[in-house]
Amino acid sequence: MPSKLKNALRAKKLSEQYDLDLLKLKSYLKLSSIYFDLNRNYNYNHLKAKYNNLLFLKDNHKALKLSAKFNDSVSLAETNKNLGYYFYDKSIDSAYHYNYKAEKLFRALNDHFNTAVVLLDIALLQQDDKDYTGSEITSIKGISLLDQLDETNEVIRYKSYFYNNLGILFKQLSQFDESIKYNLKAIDLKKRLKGNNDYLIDDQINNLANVYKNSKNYNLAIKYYNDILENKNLIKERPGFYATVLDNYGHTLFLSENHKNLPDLFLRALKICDSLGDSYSSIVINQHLAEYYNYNNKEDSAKYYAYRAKDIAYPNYTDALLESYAVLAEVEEDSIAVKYYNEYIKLNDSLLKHERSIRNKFTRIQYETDKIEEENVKIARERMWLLITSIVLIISSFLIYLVITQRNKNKELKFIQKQQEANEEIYNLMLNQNESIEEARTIEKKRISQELHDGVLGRLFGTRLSLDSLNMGTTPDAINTRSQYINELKTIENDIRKVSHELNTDFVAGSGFVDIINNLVETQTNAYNLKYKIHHDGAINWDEISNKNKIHIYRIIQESLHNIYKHAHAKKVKISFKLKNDVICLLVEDDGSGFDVSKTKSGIGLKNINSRIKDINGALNIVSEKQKGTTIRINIPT
Amino acid sequence: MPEKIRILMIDDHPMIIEGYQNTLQFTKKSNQELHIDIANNCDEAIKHMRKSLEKELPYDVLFVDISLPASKDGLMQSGEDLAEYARTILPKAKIIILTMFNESFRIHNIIKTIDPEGFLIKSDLTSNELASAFQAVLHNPPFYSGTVNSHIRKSIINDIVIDEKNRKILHLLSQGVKTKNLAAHLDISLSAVEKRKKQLKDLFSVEDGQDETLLEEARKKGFV
Repeated sequence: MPSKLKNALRAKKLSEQYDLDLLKLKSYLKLSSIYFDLNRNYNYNHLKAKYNNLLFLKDNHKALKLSAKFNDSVSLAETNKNLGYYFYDKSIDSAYHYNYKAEKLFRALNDHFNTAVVLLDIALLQQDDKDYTGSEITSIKGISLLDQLDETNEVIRYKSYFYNNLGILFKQLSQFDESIKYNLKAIDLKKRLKGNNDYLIDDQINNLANVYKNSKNYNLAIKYYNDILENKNLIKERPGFYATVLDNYGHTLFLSENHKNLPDLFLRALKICDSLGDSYSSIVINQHLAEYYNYNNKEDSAKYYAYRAKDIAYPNYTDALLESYAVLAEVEEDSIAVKYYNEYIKLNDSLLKHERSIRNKFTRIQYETDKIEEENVKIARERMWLLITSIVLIISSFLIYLVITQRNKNKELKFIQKQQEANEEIYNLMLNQNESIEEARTIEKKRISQELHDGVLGRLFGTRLSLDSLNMGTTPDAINTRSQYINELKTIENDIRKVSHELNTDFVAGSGFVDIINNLVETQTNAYNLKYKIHHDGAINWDEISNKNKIHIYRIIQESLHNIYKHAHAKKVKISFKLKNDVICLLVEDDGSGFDVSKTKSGIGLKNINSRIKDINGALNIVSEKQKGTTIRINIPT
Repeated sequence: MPEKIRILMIDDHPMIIEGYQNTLQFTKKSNQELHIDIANNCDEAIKHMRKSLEKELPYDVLFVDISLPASKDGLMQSGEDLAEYARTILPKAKIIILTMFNESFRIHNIIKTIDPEGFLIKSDLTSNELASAFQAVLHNPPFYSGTVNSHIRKSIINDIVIDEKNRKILHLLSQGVKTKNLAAHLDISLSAVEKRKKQLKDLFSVEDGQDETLLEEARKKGFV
């Protein structure tokens, strides 16, 4: 055992030195178990200083923190159990608190055996504080847990402890039949234990005999006391116990009015107790002696033992003190008897109060622990819900964001696509126009060629042929004819000049876009039932203006006409192009209802126009007067 | 004994007919007596021809211009059709074709269908040539003007042989007819036109695939 302690202490020192949490935890648990072993065995009293209560407490509190940190519920339960066990005879509150925690943890771990071990402690604590019902329930719980396990030696041992506890508490409740039943069960179990367990069995038999004594079944009690006392070695092995049994035996005899061996038995027991310094037992014996002498009218002796009992009992053994007051009230006379009787009542009252408060405390501790745990669970649950809600919120808002941006993107794309389509349409229109211009050119070319061929060439050829044949002739007739043909040549010259002039006027050049615009305005105004005037500036060379600009101008006019039709309710539209300082100035005027330029939120139409103007670096100016009409002026740099 | 020659001149330009008349009157042989009728279009020409048959005084020589306004009933589209018709009703008449056209397609076609005794291109015609052509046709046909002759030579020398349809395609293209309209002119599908054009381009080894290059090549080799 000393080497075990030494190794464990070294392990603790090393693990703390290297700050290895898991090893620290292990060493603390090991030290705790060694601590209990040391305390159980009187032989190791000299070692206790090396690992005293203070160290034990410190290490176990560290162990609590560590196991909580690692979420190691086994170690946590173990540590709680250790602390509960430690506080068993030191602080009932603490003991109860830790045991209660340990029980919960072991129960959660499904460790029936350890749960039962902790429950035993709780049951004993409750019994000690006279919470008999509570103790009974706890004991039954413990037994039912142990019943689920295989019957190992330890299981049987703890079962017997529970039955013993039940026996004691039913004795206290004066339900002697129940008490006897449980005591017999405990004896039966203890007999099944391996090894030499005589002392356990003897204790149990003593308890059983006490029950019989209390239930006034003196004969059976005497029989069981005798069974114990038959063991001649008992006085050497367990003198205290021997003295107690001896006293009980004597008291039973006294109660059964068999005074043959009295007060010898009491005096022998008292002597042994006094030699052992067992004050509690000696109080009881002194009381028994006082009762005995009182019964036999030896008042002085009775008073002597009664006061002795009282003096030893005061102030440490309250229960015994209470009993002593009762004895004194019995033994003394008159006013002194009344005084002790009053003392008895006072002490009894305070004890009852204390009992009640403690019982309340137990419930409160249990309630508070439950409440704290419940609150923890509640908080954890709330946190979880908060987490889930926030995650759901975040995800859903993210999704909404995605959907919205996607939708916007789609919208934009669709808009661009539409724009593209529109532009393409106009482009095609212009291409078509170009083609028709080209075709017109070809036709015109053909026409001129035809004209040259048919009109001029033929005549020229005829004239040449005639002149050729007349060349030789010198007759006046021939000269006359020749001059006729020369005149003819003049006419042909004129014709050629005419054709040349026609060729020079470029009847189609640049007219493509103008035609497109005219066509657009004509069809639109026709559809909208509008009268229109259109003016083109010949100075604008549309061929040199980029297709992009032309497309935008086309669209702007289309959009404006549409707006005029939709909103202005106009009758007349005037569209004009002018070139000023290399800037094309487009005017669209109507005689419609007009609108407040500053107030009108720009609709899609106006927005489209704006975006187009921006695209060609143009400038927009709208002048509108109610009931008079609107003028849109757009300047487009070329 | 004067030699009486009956002539029908068909041309829609009075000036040209005047030129022919002047030339022939000035250059005829002294024993030749020219009797000239004039027709300004197909209908008039047909009328004259029929009348001469009725009078049993058929024409000896026909001057036919190729580009003539079509007849009213639409049967005669050009001088080419008229000459063909004249061959059937006036088999003995000598036909002199006079045309502004110097495109090889037309020349080829006219020789093939009409086989005229005289073939003159107006643009390089002089009064001397006309006079000698007239005499040659009367006594020693045929007479082809220099341009026609060189065209014929070109197409004979060429190892490229193309059929009528392809010739027509080349001709129409040179007229400036668009490919998509060719099909209607030729009574074949557009894809067939495309196929033929590709064939032509291969034939004339046109590498850049342009119609202009094809026409240029064809012109060089006398197919247009």
